[in-house]
Amino acid sequence: MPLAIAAVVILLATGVGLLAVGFNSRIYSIRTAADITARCAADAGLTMALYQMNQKLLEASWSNDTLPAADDVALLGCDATYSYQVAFDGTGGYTVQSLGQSGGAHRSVTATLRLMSAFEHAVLTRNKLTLKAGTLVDAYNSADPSDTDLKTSIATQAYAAGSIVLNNGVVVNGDIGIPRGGSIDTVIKDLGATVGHKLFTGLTPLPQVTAPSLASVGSLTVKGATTTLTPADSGRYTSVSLSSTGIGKPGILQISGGDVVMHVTGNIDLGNSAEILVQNGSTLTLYVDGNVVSDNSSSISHEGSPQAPTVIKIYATGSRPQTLNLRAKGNWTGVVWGPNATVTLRAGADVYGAVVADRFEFKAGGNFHYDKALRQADTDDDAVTFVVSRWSEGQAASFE
Amino acid sequence: MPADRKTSTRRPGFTLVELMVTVLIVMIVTLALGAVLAQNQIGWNAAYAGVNSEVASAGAVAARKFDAIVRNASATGGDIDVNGLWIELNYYSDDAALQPDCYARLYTSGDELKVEYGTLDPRLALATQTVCANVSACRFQQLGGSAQMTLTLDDGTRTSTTTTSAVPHNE
Repeated sequence: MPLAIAAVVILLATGVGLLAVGFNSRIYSIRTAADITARCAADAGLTMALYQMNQKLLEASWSNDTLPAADDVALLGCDATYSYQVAFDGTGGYTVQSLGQSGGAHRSVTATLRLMSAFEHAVLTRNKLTLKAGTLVDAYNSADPSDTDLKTSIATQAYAAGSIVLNNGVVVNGDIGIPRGGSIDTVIKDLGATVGHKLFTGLTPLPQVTAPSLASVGSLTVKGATTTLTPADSGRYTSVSLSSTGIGKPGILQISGGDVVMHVTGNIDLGNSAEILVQNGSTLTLYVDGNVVSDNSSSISHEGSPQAPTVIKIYATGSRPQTLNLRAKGNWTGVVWGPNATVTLRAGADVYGAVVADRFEFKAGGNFHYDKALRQADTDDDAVTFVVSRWSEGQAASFE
Repeated sequence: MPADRKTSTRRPGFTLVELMVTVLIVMIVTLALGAVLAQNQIGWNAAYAGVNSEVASAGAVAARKFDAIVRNASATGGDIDVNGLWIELNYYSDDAALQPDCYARLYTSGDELKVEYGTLDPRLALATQTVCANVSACRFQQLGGSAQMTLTLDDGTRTSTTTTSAVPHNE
């Protein structure tokens, strides 16, 4: 009998001990889970604020009067809530404060947003990027000629081996970026290039650009003649075709008199020696849903200084993969936005501007010069996005 | 009468066989109880160690440290060993810095997990901290935009494996 009582007492003591350990573990895990959930909720609030800021960019006009804010939004699948508030800092930046709450746990994150230009890199591709042998990629600053830091960057968002091909003699005055998670030695196929740093970069968003609503004009065909478009001719074209006559007189499209905006829903065909020429003092913004086909000696060029790449802006706006075969007889001046397009750039001389493409091949006879002024972004620009510039987290906080 | 006398002279008690059976039963019960108590003790020790052992606590501390370093890091720059033996992340020294100008490098040295802090330009190590000891294995990976650490601690009596991942939030 005493033995049985002793055994029961010992078992009870052990059981109580186990229950105590289990209870403490449970309390610890509940607190840890609440902590993590609150942190996730705060992160979700920041993500939602960022999303709403980028959605706001799609509105016709930007206003700092109505910036995104929300209170006690439920985080799906758990008991957590988040609140966020975006504030304009008065100097062009925006600050987001997001609070997450779960059970008794509170977490806050604070972030500074900046407006990222569509052309932060000289060349950015989703997939392959090829620079021919001997190419120099460098930068200048048309907005600040006294700028002495003339480094630029090229980057890919691909992880596949050989996504960036730097042929022999390529010189990049700046960095080569690949996405985090890739292998620098594998993704970059370096065949004897001289570059700055090879490093990881964040995956920046590549938004789809939508052409503005323009009046329908029909097709534009120019054969062996010169046609001039002025701002009054801006509109939506079904196709553009420039071709030469049998005796070799080329079709030429002149852009004159100011800013011309064209939305071409089909292809742009530039026959032999055909030319799109943007005259001094004018600009051309081209939204293309189809392909750009450029035959030998055709050209898209600008009369004025080549160091003003925003005079020619080409946006690939098709819903399917596109091919943009671009040529210039002399210097190429312009920026190309085509995250879903295969872009090939040939020029008789140097290239001034920037390219965003799915695949890009540089075949110009000269070098590639990136204009650092392209990094300046405005809420009215196409393909700009808000990104998190600075981020920090803390414990409980409040908007007050 | 002789028969009555014979009966009255018997003394009450257990036979040897009864005694042996009883002792045997008590021994079996005692052994069973002992086994149950021993198993309980082992289970209790395991449960307690799972929560409060030095390696489990150190693993949790290391995971929090890794999370804090990665979440505050810049998505630009940094490096990782091809075999996952170390990872380096860049970060901003303060809000005024235009580029990531500092680094944090996590690596193992002997059986310790360490983190080294320093400046990038010039490359200068400023401080080194020991995150935890008793490291028997540690591997770093980059998966998509995230960084991951799988850490196994072994103090000779207990083993604890912690896996954690986080995403750099700064540009």
